[in-house]
Amino acid sequence: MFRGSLRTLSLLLITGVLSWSFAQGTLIIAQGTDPTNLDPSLSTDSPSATVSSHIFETLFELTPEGTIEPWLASGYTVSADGLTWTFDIRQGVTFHDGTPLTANEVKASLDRFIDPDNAYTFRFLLTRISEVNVLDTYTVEVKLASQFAPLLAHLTHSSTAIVMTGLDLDETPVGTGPFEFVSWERGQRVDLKRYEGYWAEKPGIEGLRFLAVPESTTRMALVETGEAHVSVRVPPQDIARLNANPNVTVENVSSVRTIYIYFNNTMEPMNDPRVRQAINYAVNKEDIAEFVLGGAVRVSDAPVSPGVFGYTPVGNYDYDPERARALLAEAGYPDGFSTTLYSPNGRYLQDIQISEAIQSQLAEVGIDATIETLEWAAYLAKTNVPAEENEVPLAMLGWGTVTGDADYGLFALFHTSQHVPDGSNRSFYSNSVVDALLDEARSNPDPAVREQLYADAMQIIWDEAAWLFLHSETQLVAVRDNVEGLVIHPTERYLAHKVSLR
Amino acid sequence: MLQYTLRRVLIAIPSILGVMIIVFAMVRLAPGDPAQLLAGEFADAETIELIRERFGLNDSMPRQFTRFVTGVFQGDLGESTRTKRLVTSDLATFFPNTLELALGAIVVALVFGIPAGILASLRPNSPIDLAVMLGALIGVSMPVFWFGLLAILIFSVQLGWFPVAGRGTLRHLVLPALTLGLSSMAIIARMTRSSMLEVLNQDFVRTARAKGLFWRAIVLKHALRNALVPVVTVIGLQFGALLAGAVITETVFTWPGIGSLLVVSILARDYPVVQGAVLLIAVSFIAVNLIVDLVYGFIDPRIRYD
Amino acid sequence: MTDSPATVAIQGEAKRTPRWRRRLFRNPLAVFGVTVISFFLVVVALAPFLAPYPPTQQSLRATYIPPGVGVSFRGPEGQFGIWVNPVTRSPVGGVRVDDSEAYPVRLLVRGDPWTWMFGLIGSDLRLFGVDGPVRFYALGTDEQGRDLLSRLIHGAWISLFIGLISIAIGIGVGVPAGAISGFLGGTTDMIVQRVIDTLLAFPGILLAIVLVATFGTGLGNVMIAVGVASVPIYARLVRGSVLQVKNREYVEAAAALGRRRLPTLFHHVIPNVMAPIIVQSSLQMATAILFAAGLGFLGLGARPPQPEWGLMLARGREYLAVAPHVATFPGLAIVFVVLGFNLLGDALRDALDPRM
Repeated sequence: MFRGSLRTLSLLLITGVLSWSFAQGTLIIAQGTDPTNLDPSLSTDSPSATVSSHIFETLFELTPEGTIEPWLASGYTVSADGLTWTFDIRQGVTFHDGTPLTANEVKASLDRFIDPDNAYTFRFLLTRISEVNVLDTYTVEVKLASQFAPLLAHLTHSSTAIVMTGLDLDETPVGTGPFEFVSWERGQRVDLKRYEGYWAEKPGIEGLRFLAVPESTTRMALVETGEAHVSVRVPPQDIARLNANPNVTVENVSSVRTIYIYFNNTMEPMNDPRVRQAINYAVNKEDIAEFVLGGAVRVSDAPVSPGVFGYTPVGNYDYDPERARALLAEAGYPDGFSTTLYSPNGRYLQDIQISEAIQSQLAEVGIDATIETLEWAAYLAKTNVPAEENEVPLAMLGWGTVTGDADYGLFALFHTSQHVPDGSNRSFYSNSVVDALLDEARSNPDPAVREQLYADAMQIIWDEAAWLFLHSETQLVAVRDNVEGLVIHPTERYLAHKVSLR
Repeated sequence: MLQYTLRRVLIAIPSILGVMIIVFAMVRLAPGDPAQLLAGEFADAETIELIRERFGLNDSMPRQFTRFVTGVFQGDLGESTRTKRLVTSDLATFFPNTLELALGAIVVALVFGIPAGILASLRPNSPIDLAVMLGALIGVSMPVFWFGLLAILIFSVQLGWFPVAGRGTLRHLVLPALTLGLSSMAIIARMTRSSMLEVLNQDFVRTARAKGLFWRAIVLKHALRNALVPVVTVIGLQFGALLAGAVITETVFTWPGIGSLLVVSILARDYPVVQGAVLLIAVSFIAVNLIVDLVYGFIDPRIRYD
Repeated sequence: MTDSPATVAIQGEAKRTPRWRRRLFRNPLAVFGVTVISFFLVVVALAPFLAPYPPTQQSLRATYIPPGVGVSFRGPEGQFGIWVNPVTRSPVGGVRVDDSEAYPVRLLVRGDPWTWMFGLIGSDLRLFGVDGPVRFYALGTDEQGRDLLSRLIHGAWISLFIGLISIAIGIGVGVPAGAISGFLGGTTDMIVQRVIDTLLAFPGILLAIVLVATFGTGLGNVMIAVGVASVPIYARLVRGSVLQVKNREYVEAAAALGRRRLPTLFHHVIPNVMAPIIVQSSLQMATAILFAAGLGFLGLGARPPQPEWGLMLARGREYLAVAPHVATFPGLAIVFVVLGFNLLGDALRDALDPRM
């Protein structure tokens, strides 16, 4: 009896000590996948961006509220013609290997990013930069080939982060961020520790661990059992169940990612705006948002999401199958038609479920859509084909306007110059008025003028129904209640800079 | 013995060559431009040309194949299009984890399979025998991933006995090893049972029984030793099957092995890694079979002359 | 497996038939297997009549409703029978049963029209259904609000089809390859054997994965992949049998009597090899269904909204914690049918091999 209680006591002590050191020590975040690469310029996915955002920092920072703050740059000035930008580099910043951050490192890092030989996927963000010059130890001058209003927004993109050049950053990621790299067990976990020489307020935790857990059932179980503090991408059906757990809360933070199904605007019958409008009326976006996504999304009223500079609500296509049938009849398809809906499977929140729901709603107005799913890479390849060879009439995609500026969300997706494979305009939408508006908006330095230009462009895009507009996504993240200060960023990154564990 | 060993090794060579042909053909037969496939989806025209040059994709097929084989023997399997790392370094990281899981599964299969088989063989057609045989059949009839997910829900989430996922301590190994070992366990139990039955009906066991030796002692001393010889072969074959079965188990339990690497790479169309992983699994399987053959020939010299 | 049916050897005598059949039906596990498979075949044959609803008809307002919700065995006025209330699920309020209305479930009702056997037959008669504007979900609904029972019933056909096609490929390629290899011997035999060794070097599901990774995903490729993976087994069976018979005295004697060797061999090999092929095919059905499910789980198999059991199970896993029935019923269906074919295969082997 006595021995039994002694054992219990010592067990309690041990677990107490363990949980204490656990609480002080390491925040564990379970993500859906392993980072593809720790070099911030080499990866294109948000799990990689989340990890690299703790190791590397950008010149400017996009706050969760959507404003742009100076970060590694402490200030800047612009010349009157808008072509020369001068950045003051923050003093007292050091890399994890002890090297102080100076203008030289910034120049080297930016040069690396825009070097065509490196062929980074996001190089297009800064292609307007013609040269980078060091003026003195803490001043850098950036010259542009032409005026470019979203420059600062683009410098907040995680792939433009300032890195220590000349290293294989995948093996030895050396940056200036609040955490430094410890180890990466591929396919399993990345371990970081607090960087004691960090220039700003040091994090309240000693370590940070990212787990790669693709199975959502497993990922949710980790946060339920306390083996992880944070599990991302909660399936909508698990929200209520997890919230019923006294130690877990599901956070619901809007994302700048818009989900849509684009029409191939050059292909019969999608080249008729009436057909595109009919499909917009035929799909019950509200029902999908409520019943397939558990109410955890926002039905779109513009091609970009709220929280993005330039967003204005421009309309809605309320569910109206009668009107859809009338429009189809008017366009010469009274009995509907057959088509193929391409859908990713597991890329976006409930993507295949949404596609199946749309398939069944389209059937009600006579449109017989076959669902075609492909693996993600194959999917991108299939949709990235010039108009004359393109076989995709309808396809679901999402676009995260991660710079927080409508230029990134509209120019790349609707400008005629951006038709695939040269850009990301997979719908081959083309309208010279929209082109002119978008061109003007990316050069004009006046924010108020830009907002109006974007509103005008989006109105045309909406009325012509370039896409089947669906919703903007929400990030559903399960967080243990002893975690304080986690930032769930609208750009789909999870930031532990200010986290403390109770 | 030397002659036998040599003959076995020589027979394995065409298989390895065949495996290489299949792996080599994968990229060439897949729809699309092999250079594009090897360069990855995001590659630009310039990179694709570079890859075409590097792998000599304009050369004749036999020349390409020679180059591929030479590369394999020099440890050059190319670079992952997804992670931009050398394929060999990824394989070296993940393969030991798969071996660990497969060994764990073999241990589970033996520890449960052999006693169950013996138990069943002692009273053929009894309710115990029937239960073991039915259990073994259910074991091979169950979709592995369903069993794994149920195991997670029951033993990790509800009971909290084992960690949900990941690799590290012995406790992390239990559920994945059990899941992966399930069908091998069933096969080993059946094998043990039938070879026990065969031995138990042989003359020397009957004689021993007639002499009045304690029944259990007979079983353990004589019968079991003889009965386990064919079981050794099954273990060898099962080990290969486990390497392949790991593809599903590893995905369920987030086990960082070659199987989950293979699945991720297929879904990302990362062909260099797919080629490397398939080659590694197949060659390991051939090697394990070769070793089993040799060990078996050593234990039982009669089979050398078959 | 070393206890493979290759060891089975039976003479093609006519009197054998009743004995093996008797042996088969004495085995209770075999009877169970035969029962499960017969039931499975009946379900396939009568699918649209047995299924109360079309397999892809969905209702977003009634997603993953558990079985039995809104179902009672007494009517509003105390009548016996099965009565159904309207059921909905909302993300906020959860499952809601509307008690104010109830409708009876009746046998042989007119429902949604269907066609079957490639359009040969069609009707709107269904075995059972609700007499009223609600639906009766005997096994609940899946994540799209589709009737799970109807999907399972229609999925049986897909599983059978996967199995049959893969067996057809296995026999169609494996049997001639094994026969040629055995008959001709020499260099041909050696080449065929090395090809088979190579295929065998891809254990289990790996060969199917390789083929699907090469030629793309989808049900058609899955069937081919699973079939190709079974070729070596059939080839070995037939080759073994041919070698066994080839040197028998009566073949030599027949040759001496001036009869041609080839027809004589066929005459003796075919009955000899039938039994192991039948046994193997029963086991192959089981393997094919399991492989297809595994490929479905990995995202390499059937595509939504096909009611393939493996895919249904794979999709249902996302709902295991909140609605376990979505994965449980397809899982059970797979286990039962696979078990049925395994039991039958085993029992056939025992019954056909007198030495066991």
